[in-house]
Amino acid sequence: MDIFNIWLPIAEIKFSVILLLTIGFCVGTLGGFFGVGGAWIVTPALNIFGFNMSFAIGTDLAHIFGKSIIATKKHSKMGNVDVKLGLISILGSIVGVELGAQVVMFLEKIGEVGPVVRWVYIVLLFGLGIFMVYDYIKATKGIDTESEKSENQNASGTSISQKLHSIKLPPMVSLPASGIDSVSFWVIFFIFTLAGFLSGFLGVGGGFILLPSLIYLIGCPTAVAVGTSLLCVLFMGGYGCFSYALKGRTELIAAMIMLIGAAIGAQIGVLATRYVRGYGIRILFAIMIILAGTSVALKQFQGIFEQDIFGTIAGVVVLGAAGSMTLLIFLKLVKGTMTEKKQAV
Amino acid sequence: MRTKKILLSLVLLSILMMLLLPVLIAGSQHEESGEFEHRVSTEGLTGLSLFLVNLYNDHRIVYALVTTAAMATFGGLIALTVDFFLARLGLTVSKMEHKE
Repeated sequence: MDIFNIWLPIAEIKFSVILLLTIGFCVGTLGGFFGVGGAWIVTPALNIFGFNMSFAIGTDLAHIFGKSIIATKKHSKMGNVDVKLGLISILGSIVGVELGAQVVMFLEKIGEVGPVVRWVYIVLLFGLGIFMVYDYIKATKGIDTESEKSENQNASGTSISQKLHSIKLPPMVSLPASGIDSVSFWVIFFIFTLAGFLSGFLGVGGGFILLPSLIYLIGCPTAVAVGTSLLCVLFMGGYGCFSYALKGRTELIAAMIMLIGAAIGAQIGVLATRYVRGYGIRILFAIMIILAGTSVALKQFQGIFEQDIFGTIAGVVVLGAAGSMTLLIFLKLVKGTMTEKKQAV
Repeated sequence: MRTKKILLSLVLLSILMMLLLPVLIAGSQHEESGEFEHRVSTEGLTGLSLFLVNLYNDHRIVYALVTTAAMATFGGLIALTVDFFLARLGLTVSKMEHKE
């Protein structure tokens, strides 16, 4: 099995090519389907399987940059990309990513980057996941009051986004591709700065923050949130790639190998969004990030209880979750394509 | 009312996590502090690996530019190639209707 291992010269470790391709393929599929970079799987997975945390972050950002180009191009053909919103995201994202990267460098100097980053991952992943499950249950089980029902079914907004739209801090912008008449530029700027900070700090494209932010805070339809999130991830990933490479924390060869797998997976994920409704995408996303949070928590337990078994289980959970969700998305694509062909006949 | 409940839950969760942080750091098995100016040994390296490591060690800005350009170029090329093959398999896409 050693023939499948290569020496990564910058990170100075040996790593399996098959594992890199598999990780790339799974996160490519998940990325294309959920509009995320997938780093909340890749960064912990690379760390669990041997990468130093800051190298895992930098290498993953490089791979995210390449992969998001592929997936965004596909989503734009489907009318899922709000380019105006994506361009506004650049300013806040760059500021946020650099702040996050500086904090990581400081933590690395004092030797605490691994546990702190993992702790923040756990809080975010569980918090977001639980919130989205709660939202899905309320929307589909008819527990809502009549006024909340009409708000939740409104493709151009949720109750939280409508409250934020009411903040009249000029300049105001309109986002016709997302069905939004008017929203303050500063609301969007703040959201993207926060997402950019998390991107630079956690080594994520920001997508797992951006997708719920675009849906619940800005009020985009889910499919447009997916495509636009990928465009934002592209910008953040590009800056993050350059920034971390400049800081010497990017393993280019590993990023290229993961990109090959991601390229194929992204096509599958993007195409599958045609056959799944908005709330279907949301609940699958929630399940995915809760499982990713569980994996990171298990990695923390490895340090607390000094038992390597926790690290092994963490690896199994994150790859098992990514693999299972990838398979589910692939099956949805196959089923949707077959149904479409039958209807065409 | 619902928004307030959600915000209250998030605040309580954040407080709980903050209380756990000292425990998590205590169990972290402190990693070695990283060198900010990291240099890689070129011993035993050849070809592309040696080229990249030399760039990395001696011309970090060029390494960063090469990394970023390489990922962008590679991503774009793969996008065009895969689109070409998927089109031949009949898996093309067009604008879709957005349903929640």
